[in-house]
Amino acid sequence: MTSASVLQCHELGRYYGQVVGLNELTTELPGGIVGLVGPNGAGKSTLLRLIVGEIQPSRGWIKVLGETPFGNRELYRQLGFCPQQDALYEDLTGYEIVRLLLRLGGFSPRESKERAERALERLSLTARMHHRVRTYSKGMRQRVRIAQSIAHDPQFLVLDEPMTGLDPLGRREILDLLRTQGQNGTHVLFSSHILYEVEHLTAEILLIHRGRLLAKGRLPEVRALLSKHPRRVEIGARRARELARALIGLEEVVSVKVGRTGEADDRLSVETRAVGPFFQRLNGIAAGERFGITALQSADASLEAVFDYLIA
Amino acid sequence: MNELARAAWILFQAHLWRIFRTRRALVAIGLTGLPVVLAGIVRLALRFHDEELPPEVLGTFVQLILIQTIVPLVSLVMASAVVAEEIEDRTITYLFTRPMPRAAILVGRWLAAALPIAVLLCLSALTVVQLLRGAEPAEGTEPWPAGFLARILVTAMLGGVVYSGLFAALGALVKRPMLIGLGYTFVYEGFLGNLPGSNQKGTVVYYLRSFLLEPHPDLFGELSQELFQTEPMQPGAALVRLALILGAALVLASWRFTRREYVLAA
Amino acid sequence: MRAETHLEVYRPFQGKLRAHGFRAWPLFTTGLRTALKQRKSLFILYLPALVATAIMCFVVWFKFMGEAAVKAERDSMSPQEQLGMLVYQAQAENLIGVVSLILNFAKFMGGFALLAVSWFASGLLCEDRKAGAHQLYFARPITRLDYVLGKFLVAASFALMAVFVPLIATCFAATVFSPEWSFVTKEWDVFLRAIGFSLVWTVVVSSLALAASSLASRKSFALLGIFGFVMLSVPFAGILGQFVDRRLFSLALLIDLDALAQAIFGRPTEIEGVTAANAWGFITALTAGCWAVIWWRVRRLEVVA
Repeated sequence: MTSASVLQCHELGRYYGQVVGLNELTTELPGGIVGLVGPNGAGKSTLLRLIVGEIQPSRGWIKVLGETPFGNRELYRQLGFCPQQDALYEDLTGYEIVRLLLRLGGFSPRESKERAERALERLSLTARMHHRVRTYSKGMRQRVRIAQSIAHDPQFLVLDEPMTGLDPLGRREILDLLRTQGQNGTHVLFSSHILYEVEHLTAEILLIHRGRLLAKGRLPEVRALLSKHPRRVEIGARRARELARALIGLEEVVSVKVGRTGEADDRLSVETRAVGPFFQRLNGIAAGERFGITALQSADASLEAVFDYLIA
Repeated sequence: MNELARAAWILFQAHLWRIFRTRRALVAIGLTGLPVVLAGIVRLALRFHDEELPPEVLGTFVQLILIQTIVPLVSLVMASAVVAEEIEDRTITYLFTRPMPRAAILVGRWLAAALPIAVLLCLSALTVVQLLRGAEPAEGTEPWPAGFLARILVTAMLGGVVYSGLFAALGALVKRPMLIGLGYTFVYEGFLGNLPGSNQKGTVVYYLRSFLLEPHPDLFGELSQELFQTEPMQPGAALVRLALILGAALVLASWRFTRREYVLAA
Repeated sequence: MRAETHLEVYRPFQGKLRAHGFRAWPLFTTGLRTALKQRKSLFILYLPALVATAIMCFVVWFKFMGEAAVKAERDSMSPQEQLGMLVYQAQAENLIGVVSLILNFAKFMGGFALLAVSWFASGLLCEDRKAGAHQLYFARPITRLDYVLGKFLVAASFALMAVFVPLIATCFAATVFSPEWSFVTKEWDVFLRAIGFSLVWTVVVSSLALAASSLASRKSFALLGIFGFVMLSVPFAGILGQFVDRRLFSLALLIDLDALAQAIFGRPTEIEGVTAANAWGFITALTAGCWAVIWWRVRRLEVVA
């Protein structure tokens, strides 16, 4: 494990009585923007709570920015956390909440005021920041929670399902915000169920299931490791059957399925173990003869596909 | 220590006005208003029947209604929630992830509850005393001793502060502080605390009564003797004991609160 | 992901939907089942009651087995007649003593019932409102009366377990231990009195608990309200009774419990100035007031989410 890692876990386990939250999780995150994905009950929130020191491990250890997080006051100056639960001080305004938390973080009254206004402006809450939180919509409440996590410019930002409750426009804003944070040098770890948005923001993923680490790293590399699931390529062609005959002879091709779409072209679903060489050979075949290729798509390189392959 | 004081002060300021917007504050205000209403009824009833206001009436109100019942109940309602409310509302996550001592949460919020408790109890006691002070104390003695009626107010406020510390500590230590606090108030202090012998010295109410009555034990006539089954303590010593109880409760609760983890419901 | 179906798990409903004749009954049975899951509380609260009942039965047995010192009053009687008279007097005194024991036990268990019902019933209405469950209930074809009755029956069950069961058990013990079943032949009305007291007290404490629950926003506040009312009423009634009018002692619920028990068991009240009529009057007014509060609050449940 290197000291430059943002997060280090070794044999990390957390149990809630008989229920296993996390089990033997060993990993290291170098930094940047990382997406934490997994089905419901996988242990994502448990991991995030261990990272921010809300709970302690039942076994193993965890270090965040080189420090043990539980009760570590100094670490919280570098850490920003946006929890999943929709919990705020209902009778305070968004501005009051962010400002109070900044004051507790050691900032002076003037600086707290400026930072609070800045953070709420970044989350497009300036117009409503002096209204009581109980009058906010779900999306606005989410923005307040994110605002309090970034207001003190933390080095490491941890967000548990930050896109919850946001409309598509809001989600895009948050994605842009997180991207900017990443570009500014802040390490970001966020969990989400919206896989295509995770994919949109980062290629680095941490996939956990039933409390265990299933996969980690850049998405294409993880996909390449799933050798028992050959890559699937969808090809639309007017002379699909002739193309199929040509492709079936290639040694990279595992299987070819012809499907009728009922339109002008038919679909081929090709499975291949080596997608790079396959595309090169396909180029050659397509250049040599006119099969009328109209569409070409890699069907299962996405995070969703990887997720399905790993979880199923 | 500086950080603790600073963070506690910020939380005290933030929550001092918030507390009056909560339902608990309404319940507490209702509770402190209750002895005033009851005192008013008694005063009217006695006047209607052309009766004098004997000192035992004020004695019963102060000792049985105010000090033994209303003071602990008001403190319980307001102070048991200082930590429990943050946990129940799941806002404690935000406080735990700030660079400040955890004990500041307990101390700051307790102070924000203790001050309104003391003020409410003082107002309640003041009104009750004004309504029921009418008659002279027990026959053959002096009129109300100088400063005694003010002593009643101080006792009520002191009780509020001590009980609030106790119940705030309870809120940090156990899951259902309100229910345990009710058991403590009615069973432990209400029942065991009135048994003969030294049992009374294990209760807060004994020290409050000592502070109030030791200088003038016969002021409320026979009632005081019935309530005090053991010798009352010197007021100074009683004050020290109360301060020790408060300090011990807060220190223990802070120590535990700092080390304990809270698994919040999703 | 592979598509799958598991139709064998889900069987379509083949029966007919019909409304239950007594719509409060399902509410009652579910509420009782839920409340009975609080095993720790049941153990803590009802174990002492069980022990007290067992002790009481033993005391009753001991009373019948013990000797009564009786003086023969009629010298003109033959020795045999005198002996018969002695035995008769001893039996009569034992029976009266046992009835007094049962009366005191009734008062004790009445106080205990207040504690038990407060614990189990104080959350019945307020927790529903807090969780929003009342919206689910009133989206079903039940009336407000069904809802309140169902809740009331849950509260009443705990009161009956605390009062009725121990009293009847003691009466049966008295029957069994009395010589030649004299308890049931000579004091058969004690059964009816015990049942009567149990029912009256059940209605009072259940109504009080439900009223507190309807007013409070959470169970702990309802408990606070019940205990506060009961404890504060004693010194308040004491002051008014002592210095204004002795009849005002009846404003204390615990004093009324005592007077009620005395009245139902055919004995005079023990506190001067407190009559059975006063106690009945206050209890009736209290119960009526509680139901008025419950009705008002349950009506609001439908309107305000």
